[in-house]
Amino acid sequence: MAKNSTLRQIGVTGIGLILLSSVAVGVVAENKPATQSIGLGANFDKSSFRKAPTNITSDSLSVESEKHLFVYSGNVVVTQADMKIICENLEGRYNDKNQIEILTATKNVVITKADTIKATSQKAVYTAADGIVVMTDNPALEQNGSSLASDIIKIYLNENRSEAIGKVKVNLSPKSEEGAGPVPTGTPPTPTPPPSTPTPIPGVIILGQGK
Amino acid sequence: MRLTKLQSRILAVGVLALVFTAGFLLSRTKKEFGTIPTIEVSKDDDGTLDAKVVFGEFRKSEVKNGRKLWEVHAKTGRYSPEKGIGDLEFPEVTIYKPTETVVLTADKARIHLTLNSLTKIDAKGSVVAHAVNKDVTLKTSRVLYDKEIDKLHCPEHVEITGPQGSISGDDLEGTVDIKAFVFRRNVRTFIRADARKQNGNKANGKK
Repeated sequence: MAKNSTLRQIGVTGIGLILLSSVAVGVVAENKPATQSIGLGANFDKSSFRKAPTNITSDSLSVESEKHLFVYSGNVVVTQADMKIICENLEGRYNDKNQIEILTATKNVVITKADTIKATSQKAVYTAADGIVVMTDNPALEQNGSSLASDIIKIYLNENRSEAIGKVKVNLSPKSEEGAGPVPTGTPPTPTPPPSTPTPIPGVIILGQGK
Repeated sequence: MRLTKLQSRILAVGVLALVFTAGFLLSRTKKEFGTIPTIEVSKDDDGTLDAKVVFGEFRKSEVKNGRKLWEVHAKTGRYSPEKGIGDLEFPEVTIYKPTETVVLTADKARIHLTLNSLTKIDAKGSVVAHAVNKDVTLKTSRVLYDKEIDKLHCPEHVEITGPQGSISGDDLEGTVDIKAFVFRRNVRTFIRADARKQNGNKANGKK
């Protein structure tokens, strides 16, 4: 039937996997109280990403071509190459040229790459116009045992960088510090936790407490 | 019996009026059947007799304001004028939408007609619906189409394929041109690796 409108919509949702590209993490960076830059995308092979097909499974799918909207609901799993998005809801809006304008993943959002990098949050919004993914509601990144958590994590896809905004916590595992993991892209942070923070355990660095 | 001159004139005017009326009605809604039909009388499930017109080759269509709305073609068909129901073997139903033409084929279909306008289709068997302009194909085992609300319902498993990939799932409901639809269970979407490239080319006006 006239499914083309459908297919072109789901076709462009693949662009949403750009979200996944953001998770190639090298954690840690500059020591700014409220905004931390973290080097993302360093390990991401975009050429292989573009060559891979996309699979999306879900319990249900709703499409409204007139409004240029689609919604995948229930146990949503998006996979492309070694990348995966898991969430309960994936909504998207596209323009007249069938290009994604905005994608919103909500509820238990988990973005992984090759089982080594993992980003989690309750909400992740990708806006194509500025190429930014904004992860909110308890966003966190993990790689090689190291982790980063903050109020907001912004991923600038076009610039290969990210920002952790708000109350930022970075835990570096000894393995990461030996060079297997994240590489600082800015001035190494000084681990001086404010009085209110718990005593750091070995191998854990808590960065500036914003707000 | 001999008619007077006045009676002849009245009769002639009457015939002309009839022809004019018939022509006018036909111009609004054109109906056509294929071959010369035969009559078949059968007993319904409730025991009542039902006279059906049997066509060796069934054809019917509707034209409104000079535009064809739909046409049905089947190898054989049994049509009950009283009930407005046609049971068709290997039907091909073409629905002409303003921006799309949808061709539906199946092993069997029951069509409902009201005042010779198509109102419902219940197609079973190997159901294939093809959107010609967009080259998108839907395959399932049953489609129910209600023209009044312009919605179709596929209660079983559905697979939709197009140039950019495919969607499959169970229990689909949507408009016949699939501008709006809902898959209610087990949705699987496959997007070809070059789909984004196609989108990009389209956006740039390339083929």
